[in-house]
Amino acid sequence: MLQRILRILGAMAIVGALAACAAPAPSPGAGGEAVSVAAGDAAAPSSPSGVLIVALPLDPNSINPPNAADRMAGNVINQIFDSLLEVDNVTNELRPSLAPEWTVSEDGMEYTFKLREGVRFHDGSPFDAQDVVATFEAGKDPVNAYASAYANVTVEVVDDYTVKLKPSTPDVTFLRSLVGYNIISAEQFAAEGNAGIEVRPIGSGPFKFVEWSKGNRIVLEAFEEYWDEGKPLVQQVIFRPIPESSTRLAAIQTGEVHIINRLSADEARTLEGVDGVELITYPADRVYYIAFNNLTTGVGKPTEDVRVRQAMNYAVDRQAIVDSLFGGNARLSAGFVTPWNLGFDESLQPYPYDPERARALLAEAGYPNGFTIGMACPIGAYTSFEDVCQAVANYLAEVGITLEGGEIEFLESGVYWDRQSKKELPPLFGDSWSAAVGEALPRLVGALGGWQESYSAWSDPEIDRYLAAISSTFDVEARAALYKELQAYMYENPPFIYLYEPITFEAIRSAVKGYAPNSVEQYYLKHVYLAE
Amino acid sequence: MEQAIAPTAPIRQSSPVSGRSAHLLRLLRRDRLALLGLVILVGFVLIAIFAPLLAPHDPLAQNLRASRLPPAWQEGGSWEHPLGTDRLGRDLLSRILYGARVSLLVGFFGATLACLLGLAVGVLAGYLGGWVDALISGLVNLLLSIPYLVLVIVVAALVGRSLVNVILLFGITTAPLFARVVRGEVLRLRAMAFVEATVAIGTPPLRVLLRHIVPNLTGPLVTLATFEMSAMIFYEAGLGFLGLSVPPNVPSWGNLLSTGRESLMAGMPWLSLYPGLAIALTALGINLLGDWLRDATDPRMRR
Amino acid sequence: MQRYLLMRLGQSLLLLFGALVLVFWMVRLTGDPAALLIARDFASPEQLQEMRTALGLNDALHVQFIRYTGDVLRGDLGYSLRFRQPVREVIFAALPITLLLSTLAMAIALTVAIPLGVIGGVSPGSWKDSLARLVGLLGQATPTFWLALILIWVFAVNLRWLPSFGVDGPHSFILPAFALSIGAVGQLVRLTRSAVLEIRNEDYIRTARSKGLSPFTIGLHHIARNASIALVSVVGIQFTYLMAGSIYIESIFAIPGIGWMLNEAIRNRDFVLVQSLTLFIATFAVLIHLATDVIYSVLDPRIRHR
Repeated sequence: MLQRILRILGAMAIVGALAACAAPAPSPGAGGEAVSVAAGDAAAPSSPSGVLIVALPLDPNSINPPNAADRMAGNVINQIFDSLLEVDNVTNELRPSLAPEWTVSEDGMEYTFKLREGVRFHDGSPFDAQDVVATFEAGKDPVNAYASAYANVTVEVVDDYTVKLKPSTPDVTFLRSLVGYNIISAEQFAAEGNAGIEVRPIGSGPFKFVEWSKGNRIVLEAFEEYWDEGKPLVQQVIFRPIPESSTRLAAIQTGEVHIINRLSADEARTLEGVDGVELITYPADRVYYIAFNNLTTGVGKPTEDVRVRQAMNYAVDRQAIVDSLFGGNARLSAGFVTPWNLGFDESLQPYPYDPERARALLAEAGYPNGFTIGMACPIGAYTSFEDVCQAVANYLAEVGITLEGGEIEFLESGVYWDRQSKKELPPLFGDSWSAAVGEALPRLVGALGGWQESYSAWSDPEIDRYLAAISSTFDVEARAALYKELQAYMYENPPFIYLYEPITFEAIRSAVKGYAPNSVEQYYLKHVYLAE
Repeated sequence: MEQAIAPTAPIRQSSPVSGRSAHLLRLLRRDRLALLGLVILVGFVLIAIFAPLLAPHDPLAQNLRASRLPPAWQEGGSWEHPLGTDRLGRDLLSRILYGARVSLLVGFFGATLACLLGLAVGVLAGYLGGWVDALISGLVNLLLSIPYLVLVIVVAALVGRSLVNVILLFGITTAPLFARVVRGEVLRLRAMAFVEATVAIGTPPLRVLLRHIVPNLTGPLVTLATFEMSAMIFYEAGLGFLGLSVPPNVPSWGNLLSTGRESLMAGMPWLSLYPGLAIALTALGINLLGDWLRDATDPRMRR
Repeated sequence: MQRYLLMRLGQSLLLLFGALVLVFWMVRLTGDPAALLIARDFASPEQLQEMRTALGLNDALHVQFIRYTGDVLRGDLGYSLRFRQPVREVIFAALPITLLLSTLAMAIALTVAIPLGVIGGVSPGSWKDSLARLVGLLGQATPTFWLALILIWVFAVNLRWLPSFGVDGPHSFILPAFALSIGAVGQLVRLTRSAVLEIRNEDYIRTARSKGLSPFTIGLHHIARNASIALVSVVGIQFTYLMAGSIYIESIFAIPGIGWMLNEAIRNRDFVLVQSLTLFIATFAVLIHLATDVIYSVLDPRIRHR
């Protein structure tokens, strides 16, 4: 334990001493405070200069906004396109982008936006209400990954620079979710359709698209007529996909790239003290858990008994797992709402490791000698998660809960999600869920919505009631209170074996200034520059 | 990763099998490298068989409080875990010893399965000829025309991860190689004078097959099987690297190397160094022996 | 001769059709790509269904197969779900890179392996021979991906001589080509050595030796020429192996070639791309086999009458 504290202090000291760009642990509610330029750093350049090279852990599937299925694709898109709103680089709060002003109707079903005038797309065409219409029109093509999300919104043009957006169902996170709807050019969509955007995306963002050589590089160049004065600060951004983590680690050391992300704690440690490299660490808004199933494969299993589910939560030594596999760099999870979500209940303590209590609860439920149950985990989806699953299984075995077939059913992640969407996974299955809207609602609904949701295997009328209430409560404080009640309920009636919320490591070259990813790994490179 | 697909067996005399072993042994003693190969192979098999006796720990037993220990002779290591532990605190030495089991299972049964399948199919094709031969040869050529690694990876990605699947996969995809060798040999042997003579005096076909043809296939098949065994151990590592081998909780050398490779540059090099050495050493040993076997069963090399 | 060629050509075409059938059905034995392509937060069962319809995945398998075969015959390899681009474009963008990488690796392998193999084969049992055997065995006993990581560590991170990843110029290919060549080096050293050994024992060489020709002359004129015939048959096949080995090397060095692409396609279960890539690689291999046979039959007339 002491060693762990020292290690964390060590890591903090290094990051702190070098003082550049690190996003320190955000306080609950806010996304983190400013870190930026420390004294002695070179000032931001007056005109864009330099080439910034960013390593990606995978080649984006697409850089057409409604198709960006993963975070890395989203991060490329965010540099090319603007949205109506954006998230502040540092405070993680909503702020205007293409829409400087907005009003929300009382029932939360109508959002009126004033649009910024004088904005131009990279092809020179002016931005107006028609582009917002085109954005949602293009997005709802069913081939797109996010088609249904786009289809849920109707756009009404009030005048050239005013639009009304109407979600089809009440959605308390609607405003926040608009950050993810990147505005495309109506001219381009009319002329080239989605296929055209796939190959040559035209946005109004700080960088314009130059080329994408798949698997090799994506090149963007500063857009001189960007509406946000004085931005961007670098002349060129080049994204380089490097799938092998060891190679990424090599490339940051040689200086071939300026930014790498998704480092494991072990990898981050090897970069400590490396000349010209700085570590960035921040907690991720992502929850890892082992889910129970009471819809299909888990029907009639002991896990339907709440005491059994509690017992399983007591049986796992989360701290030991986190220490051993993540060098202590993760928050132990006590629920499905994280500290950076609305309505987080900080009084809730993670289930302690208490195998005695677990055995007692199992005995009380009628399983003094434990039982046998199936468990599955995905392969290659998340950092060290295969190891986490094995550790969990090991702890369960210690209280007598053994696995069907004697081992975890490991499935390649594609197959895994396929089976998950058909609710065919065994009664215990591992997974994780992030949230990009600052609230836990989407992941709560996604994982616990019962038959309505593809990836849910759990249904609990009480939880349903809470979710329905939260979805329709537009008052923020009332909603926060509901979240707290739900957390308390889900603590006593756990639909998961709660595990952890990871701390993310990234590394940058010392010359990189102003880089501040938020808790869901998003970043805006228009603020970044390279010191001499 | 391009591994020994042994070249088609050289032309062989049809000398009787018996009386050869003494000669082989004498030859073996003369070739020190081959002897080394034999020692390595025997050692590997013994380790695999007696892993439970040799291993200091249960290879699956976790101890999160003693995870990522370096090897004993490094600072922070202890002789409790001679080669150190992994991130779940499992004993690396024990995992490598048990890994030999998985490798042996994969290599031995894979090669045996391939050999038997290839033998059956090749003999059928070579002996029956006609449309059976055409069909079998077509299928064999089809499977051999796709680069082996591509075939294995694509199929492995489709069938899911389990030990049995990996063995079946290697066995079936390698069988065509054996079938081709067997078919060629059968065709050649059938044309040989002594076989023709036995057929002429009315010996039943099955008897001709079992008595005169199959025994003469032993040399090339054993040689090929030896090479393929080391190839399979190697390919298992390769599949492990791509995350397509046996499930991640099984301590196969491929899995050890694959999870270890991330540790190579993350401050725990022992996690991939020693499994890598185990694979390299075994492949080396089996290949040494295979080389010698090929030379020894090829009469023209016997000088 | 002509008849032999025509027959081989016919065989090759049949093989390719077989490969088409095999690959198509193999790939469809498992899984559903729609689940992987759709964003998870927004996936209801109906939406998954809608997506399948849009992608043509709902049709009966034989309908999909007939459609696919027709398309392939017209030269249309389909549309990659992963890359959202016609497969043909995707493959042709990646092909030159892999061809270059494999050719370089082959060049390295031949440069290293042939001299070593000849030296070893000419004087069996000598220390030079032991060296050749050792290199041959080590070459085959070293996992390429392992070697690749070590090379990056030594030459990119520590020495800073060469780039650690990507394709940014000729120097980018040096480390990957070396790593890729290792298996071929091993294989070729061994083959050269045994070919030389075999030829060395042929009667005419022994005659030449007894006539008092210098070992150098014998080596150059007789052994090398005849051994090269044996090598021709292997080099082509080795080349296809090198292409397959690029699956590892390209993933490690972040090189967007055929191998990297196959890995991507498999991980994303891009049916269309996996089957087209496998078909493409098989076609390539069949053509190389065909070419090898043709060259071989020209070099060694006995083959034609087999």
